[in-house]
Amino acid sequence: MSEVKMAEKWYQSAATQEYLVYFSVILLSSVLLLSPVAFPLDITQSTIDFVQAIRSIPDGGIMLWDESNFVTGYYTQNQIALYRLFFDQAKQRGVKIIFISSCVDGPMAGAMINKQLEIQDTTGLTYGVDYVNLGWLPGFEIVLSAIAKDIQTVTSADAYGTSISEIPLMQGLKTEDIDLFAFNCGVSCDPWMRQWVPLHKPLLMTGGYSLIAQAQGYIQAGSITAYLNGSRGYVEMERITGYMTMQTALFEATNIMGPFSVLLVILTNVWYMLRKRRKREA
Amino acid sequence: MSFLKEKEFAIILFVIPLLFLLFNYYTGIENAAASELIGWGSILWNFSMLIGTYTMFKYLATNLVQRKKDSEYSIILFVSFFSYLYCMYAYPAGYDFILSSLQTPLGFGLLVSQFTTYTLLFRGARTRNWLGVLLLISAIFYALSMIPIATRTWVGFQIIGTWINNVPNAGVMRAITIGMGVGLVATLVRELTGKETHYLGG
Repeated sequence: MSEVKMAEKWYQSAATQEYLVYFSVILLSSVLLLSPVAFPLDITQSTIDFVQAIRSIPDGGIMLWDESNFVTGYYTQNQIALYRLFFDQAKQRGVKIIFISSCVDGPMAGAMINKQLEIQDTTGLTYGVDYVNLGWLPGFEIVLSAIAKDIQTVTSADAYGTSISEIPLMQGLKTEDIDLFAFNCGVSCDPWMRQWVPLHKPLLMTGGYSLIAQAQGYIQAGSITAYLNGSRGYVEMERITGYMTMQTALFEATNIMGPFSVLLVILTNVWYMLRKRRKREA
Repeated sequence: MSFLKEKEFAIILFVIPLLFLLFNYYTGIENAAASELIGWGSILWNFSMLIGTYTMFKYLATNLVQRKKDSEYSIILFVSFFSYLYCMYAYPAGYDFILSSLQTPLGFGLLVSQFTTYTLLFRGARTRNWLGVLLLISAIFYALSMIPIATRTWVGFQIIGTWINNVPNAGVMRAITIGMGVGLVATLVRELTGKETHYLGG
C-alpha cells in the first residue's frame, strides 16, 4: 500500500499511442492511395508462368475456375483484372470457361462470380456456349472430388436454374476434356491437391501470402503449375496484362505500410527490452 | 429396434460405405454406385447445415428466454437470417439489395480491422526468447522480400526472404503435409477397426 502510483502522462496512455499509430497508418497509406507513384516492381517468375499458362490453353480449349474470393475482391478490383484475362482468351481464341465455387465459407463466393459476370465485357460471347456459371455448390471437397471424377455429376443445374443437359458447353463434357484447372484458395490448398493433382492437368492457384507459403511443398513438387502470390501476384499480373485496377494503388499503399509495420515491431521489442533491463537494475 | 441404437450399428453404417468407396477408388468397379454414394454425402452435408442452424437457434432462443447477457443481439440475428432467407427465394430485388448495398460494403468495411493489426504489432509483438526472435526476424525478412520498396533498397531482403520461403518453410510444410497424410491413414485404419468413433460424437 506504501507504493505511490505515478500519474500517467497523456503521451503514455495506450489510447493516445493507438491513435498515433492509426494516424500514421492513415497518413502513410492515403498519400499513396490517392497518388500512386508506381514503384518499380520486379515481376516474379511464378506470375509470368501463371499468365502464360492461361494464354497457353489450346484454341477452343476449356478452363475451369473455382472461386473462393468474397465480394471484397470485387471492390479491391483484383479479381476484375483476372476475369478480364480469362474472357480475353474466350474472345481471342475461343477458350471456354466454367465458373464454379466450392468455397467452404458459403454462397458469398458464388455471389462474387455473379458480380464479376455482370461487369465483364462479354461482347461476342454467348452464355452457355462460351462460358457457364455453375454457382456455389455445398460440400467443398465432395464438390472437388465430383469434378475430378465426372463433371456431369457435380450439379443438375447452373447458377440460374437451367438444366445442365440444356447447356451446350456442358453437353457431353468430360472432366478429362478440361485443359486447365485454376482455383482461388481461402483455406489450405490440400483438398484441391488431393482431388485435382491426379488429373495431371495444369493447375493454377491464387491465394494470400500465408497460403502460398503453406503450398510451397506442392509448388516445388510441380503439383501447382503456377500461382499468384497474394496482392503482389495480382499487381504483377496487372502489370503484365496492362489491366490496372485499384489493387495496384492499394498495393502501393501496402508497400509503404510493410516497412512501417516492421518498424513498429522493432520499436516494441526495443522498448520491451529496455523496460525489462530497467526493472532488473531497479 | 434396440440394435439400431447400438454403437456397432452406426460403425457398420460408416465402415461399409467407406470400404466400398476404397474398393471403387482402387478398382474402378461400380463407378455409378460410388458417384451416387458421394451424392448422398453431399446431401448429408446439407442436412448437417440444417442441424447446425437448428442448434444455433435453439441455443440463442434459450438465451433470449432466460434473458442472459447480450442475448438481445439474437433478435438481430433472427431478423437478418429470416429476411435474407425470404429475399433469397421470394424477393430477388431485396436479395440483390442486401448483397450489393449491405453485405458487400460491410465486408469491405471489415478491412478497417487492419488498423487493429497495426496496433497489435505495436502492443503485442514482443519476443520473450531467442526462438521468438528467430521467428520474428524470419517473418520480417519474408515480409520485406514481398515489398518492392524494400527489395529496391537492399537486394539481400529478396534473396534471404526467398530462401526462407523456399527452404526452411517448404521443408516444414512438407513435413506437416506428410505428417497429416500418415495421420489420416492411421485414423482411417482405426475407424475401420472400430477403435476410433469420434464421428459418432461425444
